[in-house]
Amino acid sequence: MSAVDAVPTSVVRGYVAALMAILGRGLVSLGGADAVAREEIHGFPDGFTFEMKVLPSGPGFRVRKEGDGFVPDRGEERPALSIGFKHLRHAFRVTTLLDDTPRAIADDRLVIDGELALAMRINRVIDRMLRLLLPRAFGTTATTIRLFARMTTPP
Amino acid sequence: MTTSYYEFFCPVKILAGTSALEHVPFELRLLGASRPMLVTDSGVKGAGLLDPLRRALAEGEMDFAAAFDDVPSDSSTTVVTACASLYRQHRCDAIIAVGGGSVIDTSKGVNILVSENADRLEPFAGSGALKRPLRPFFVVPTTAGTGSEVTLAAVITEPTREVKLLFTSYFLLPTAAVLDPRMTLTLPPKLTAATAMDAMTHAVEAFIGLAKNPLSDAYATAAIRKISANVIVAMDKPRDVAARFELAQAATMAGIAFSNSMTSLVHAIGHELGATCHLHHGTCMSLVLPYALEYNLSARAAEIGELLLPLEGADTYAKTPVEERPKAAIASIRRLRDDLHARCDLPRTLNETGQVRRDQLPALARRSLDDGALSYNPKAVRYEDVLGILERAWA
Repeated sequence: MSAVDAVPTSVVRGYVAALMAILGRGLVSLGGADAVAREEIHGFPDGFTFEMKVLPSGPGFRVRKEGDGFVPDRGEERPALSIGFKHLRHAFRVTTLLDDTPRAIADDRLVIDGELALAMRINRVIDRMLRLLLPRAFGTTATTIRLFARMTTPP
Repeated sequence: MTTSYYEFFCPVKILAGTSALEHVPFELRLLGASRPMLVTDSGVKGAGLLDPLRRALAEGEMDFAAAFDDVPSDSSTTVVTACASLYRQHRCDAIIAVGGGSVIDTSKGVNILVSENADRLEPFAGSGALKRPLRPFFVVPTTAGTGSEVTLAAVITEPTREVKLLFTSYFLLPTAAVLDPRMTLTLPPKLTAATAMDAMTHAVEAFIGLAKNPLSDAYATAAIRKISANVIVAMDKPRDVAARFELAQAATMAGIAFSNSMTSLVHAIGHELGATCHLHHGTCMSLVLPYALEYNLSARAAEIGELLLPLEGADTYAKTPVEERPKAAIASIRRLRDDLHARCDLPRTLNETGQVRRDQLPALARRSLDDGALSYNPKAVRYEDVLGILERAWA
């Protein structure tokens, strides 16, 4: 059994829920705080909805593009873009940086539903947000560097 | 390095070899179908490629209940809707697609509409929207490159918004792929070269990508071996049945490989080149492949070195020191491009195409970063990296 398998379900669920909440709130506060992110966010159509969650019923978050940034969204209809983790433990591996996002995609841990160009863009926005948030939270570790290096916003 | 977890799936029945077309009526009856609809394009029709299929059906006491023979090279939801309407009008119960990527993708769209009894394709875009098996769907490829006969995706343009809709679902996989040597014998030299390089790129990217796995590796290396050994033969002797059949099988095998381990950097750049400069997809692959391999060398030297075996054979592989194999493999692909250029003028540089301007390269690089295939590249890719690859591919 790996160290990850030994973590109790309740701890995994609580941790992933907290990280999802941080990611969702981070996206909402990002547009006003960072010019690079704002430029990327402008590339989404107005009203664009994005959801990230653990399948089938969460935890997760959902946001909508409005003006220069994202706002929380509580709509029930199918989002324009969704990224779903197939299992709680897969989300745990990614949010603890044991797996980076490209590895999770390559290993079929995620289901992306929507236009791929928008998925690549949201990936860059999330990376930008992590770039701003994570050094304060975790320090600049080799793992975070690897995650950050995946995508770079074009000039 | 293999992934820590992988999935592999290919339920498509392969009907391959001499008289493969003659198996179609029997296979359709096994599925309870007797009124197939033909979907094809004017080029296939004009080349007389439908004759052996029509005869095979007639001798098997079956005929097309309807035929849609005017699929354009860049299909659209409008075409799909018209085709589905014809299907319903003639009470068809199966689809036989005869052609290349556009015909096959159109047929996948038609199968969605007629199976789901729907009028619009848009609600089924993305992945996971289809929840049940579709109608019997046979594919007869007339090019040896796209691998669409074994893939679960379709790209169809929505003309009013001018967006390309992507559909992915295991239910889009054809019921059967029919590889009959008669169907690719008349493929023109340049198209033979470009489609072979398309299949080569599928196999190479499947072998070096992040999602590579032992099963897709087996298909990929076998496909590369067949292409290397047969593409020049088919160029020099276009009616060489054995070489044509080897290329057709290679394209299908490469299709199985990349539909399970995906493509990466070459396709991300190639998609943009094709869309912006209106170059044939296979040509785009050929233009970018060696430079993308050079870029990935630092992350995938061992895997690229292993490509030397299927590319050049056991003798060359054994004589080449391990540390020289990666560069030797890339050099082999460059030589293949030179050989193809000598025979049919398949361009080797962006400049040679006459359809790309150098001032377009920055925009091409920027847009390539939005392509989902980049997620599977073994090495992180930034704007400057893509621009560098395009600059090296320029001349």
